[in-house]
Amino acid sequence: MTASLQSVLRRTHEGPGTAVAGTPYPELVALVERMRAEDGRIIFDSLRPMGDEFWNMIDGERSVEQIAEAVCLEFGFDLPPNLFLPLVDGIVASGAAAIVGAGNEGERGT
Amino acid sequence: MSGIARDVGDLFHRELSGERAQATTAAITRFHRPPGASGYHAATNLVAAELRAAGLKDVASTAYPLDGETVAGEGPLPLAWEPHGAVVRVVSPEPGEVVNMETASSCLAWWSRPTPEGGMTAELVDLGRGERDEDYAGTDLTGKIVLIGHTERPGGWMYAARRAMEAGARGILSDYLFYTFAPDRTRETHPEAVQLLRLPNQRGQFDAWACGIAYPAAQRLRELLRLGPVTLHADVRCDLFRGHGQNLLATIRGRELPEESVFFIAHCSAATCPCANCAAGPALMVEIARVLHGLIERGELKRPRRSVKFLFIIEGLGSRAYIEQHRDELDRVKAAFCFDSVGHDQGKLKSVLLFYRHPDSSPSFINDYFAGVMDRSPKDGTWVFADDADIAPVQFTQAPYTPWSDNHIWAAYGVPSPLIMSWPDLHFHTQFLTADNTDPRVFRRAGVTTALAAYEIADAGAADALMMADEVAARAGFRLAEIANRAVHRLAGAARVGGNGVDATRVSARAGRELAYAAERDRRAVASVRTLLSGESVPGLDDAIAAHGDALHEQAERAAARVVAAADGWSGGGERA
Repeated sequence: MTASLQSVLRRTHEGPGTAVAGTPYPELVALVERMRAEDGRIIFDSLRPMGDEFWNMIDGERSVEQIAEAVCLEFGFDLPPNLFLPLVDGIVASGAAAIVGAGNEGERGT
Repeated sequence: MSGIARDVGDLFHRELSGERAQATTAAITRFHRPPGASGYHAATNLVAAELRAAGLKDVASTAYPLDGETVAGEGPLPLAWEPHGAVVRVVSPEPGEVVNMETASSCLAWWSRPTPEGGMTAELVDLGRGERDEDYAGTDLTGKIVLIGHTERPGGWMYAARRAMEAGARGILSDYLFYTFAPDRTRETHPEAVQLLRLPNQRGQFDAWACGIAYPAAQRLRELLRLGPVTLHADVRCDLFRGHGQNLLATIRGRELPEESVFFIAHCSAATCPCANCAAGPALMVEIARVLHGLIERGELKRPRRSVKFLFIIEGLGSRAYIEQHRDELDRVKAAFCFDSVGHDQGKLKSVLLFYRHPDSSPSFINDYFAGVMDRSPKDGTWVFADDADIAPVQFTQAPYTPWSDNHIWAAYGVPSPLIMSWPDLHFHTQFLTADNTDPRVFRRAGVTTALAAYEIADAGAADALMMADEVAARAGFRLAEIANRAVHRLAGAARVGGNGVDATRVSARAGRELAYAAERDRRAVASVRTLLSGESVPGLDDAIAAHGDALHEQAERAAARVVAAADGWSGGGERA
């Protein structure tokens, strides 16, 4: 199942994790370039706290869009939420998280 | 300052010795301390002995396996690993040494496997950065030694190393230098630094080894490769084995609620040797434990209501093992102060002592409360016209949540877990990070501040909770004003340089979202003081918390309106509308 901005996620294990765990390194490098085009302060290592907190905020209630917005506000970045969708697809594909609401019918954004 | 303590902060300031913490750091750095290694156990035993010598009675160690199989937290715990030596030489075309663990103690990567008795000789292949498919195309790496070049992405090392091993490489050399910063820590300006690397071989699945090397050595190899084939000889001696870790726990028992606690956490393990950054954490914890225990035993300080616990671990692994064994205890842990490089000489290492905040995913009183303690704790400098310790020669400031150390594990369970650590770090995880790069004044500043915060939380009752709620709300309110001011200043500043492409509507919208977010987060942070009540009924606390929350949201709305008005009146550098 492909995630959308309206998807609601549930973690399949509690405790520490990261939203970048399911995405191959070359794709992360490419994703950071897209993020950097939106906010020039982004570097590769920005993924580390953002990935950590995205994971921590998965609670079975908030949507992907709400979490992406919260993560950006926490660390002072200005990114469109759809840039987090590849990470969500990665953790869903890896089995670390599951989509429990809104499914794949929502807007994936531009 | 006189010798008479006015309050708890003065007591800690009088008693806590940065010199003693520095001496313990130096003692710990004598050992090479990877997970499960004899040096790691020796360092932990040294800490236990110092705790007992300081008079602490409740000091106990719990073992857990490092076998590559036992699951704790997010996955299996790794195998134990111990380095003994590593020498890599060029055999041809020009014989010479590439790296030697005797002079570059940080060179051998964790979870390397040894070479056969007598070493191995193999051809060297330059993989470039090893990040692209083309780097591997058309080259048989089986049994060879590869050279992987530095990038600015630490994740690139793990990716390239794994690919090289999957392609059959038997040895890896790399001039990676993690977390560079210009002008002091770049490959060119810090050429001889050898970075400690971790090989993605925690379960021993690859028969391979890796060594970090200095930049000039890597450049020389590249030059030789341009001229023709290069053959190396490597003699790597280490053990990858089924061993164990130990969680050393020292407890100062609380007087009323001993089952509740405040933790200090640091690691006796270390990325490499000497690794004074890691050693500083347990060293300072020993000093805090000594001071707190001594003051209580001498009757100079009231025993706190809750227990204070000092947990000495292998970084990351120890927390995972502890939580696996004590999952039901977490709700009773009121805060966990994680220590890393708490003693860095700020001049020598270009460092600042940082309070890395607990993350927003579980809003907590700890961030604003600790900021207040940073402000009011005694310092080492005095105003020229008063005998008062209120000027800090040591830089100590706040930074956002940063998942560097054990803080990210405890925070993931919602335990308020700030990290105290120095950054930047000129010699981070290289052979140069010796104990003489630490500074007693930094230890003292970190120690006095965190000891005071931990004691106050451990002793907090209803009145303290109410006071903390007020303090968090006050700082949150100031932060809302700052968010609005920053947006208004941004518009004004852009206007002075002709607009500079700024979209006023976007600035305003962003500020509005930021204000709403901060108000709601801090409403929850204020409410989190309830976790300190331990079932007590506090008249008026719920009303005060609710009032603070309402006030924050109202203030956010007013601040947002102020930014909207500034944006509406913004003309992009021309006349104001």
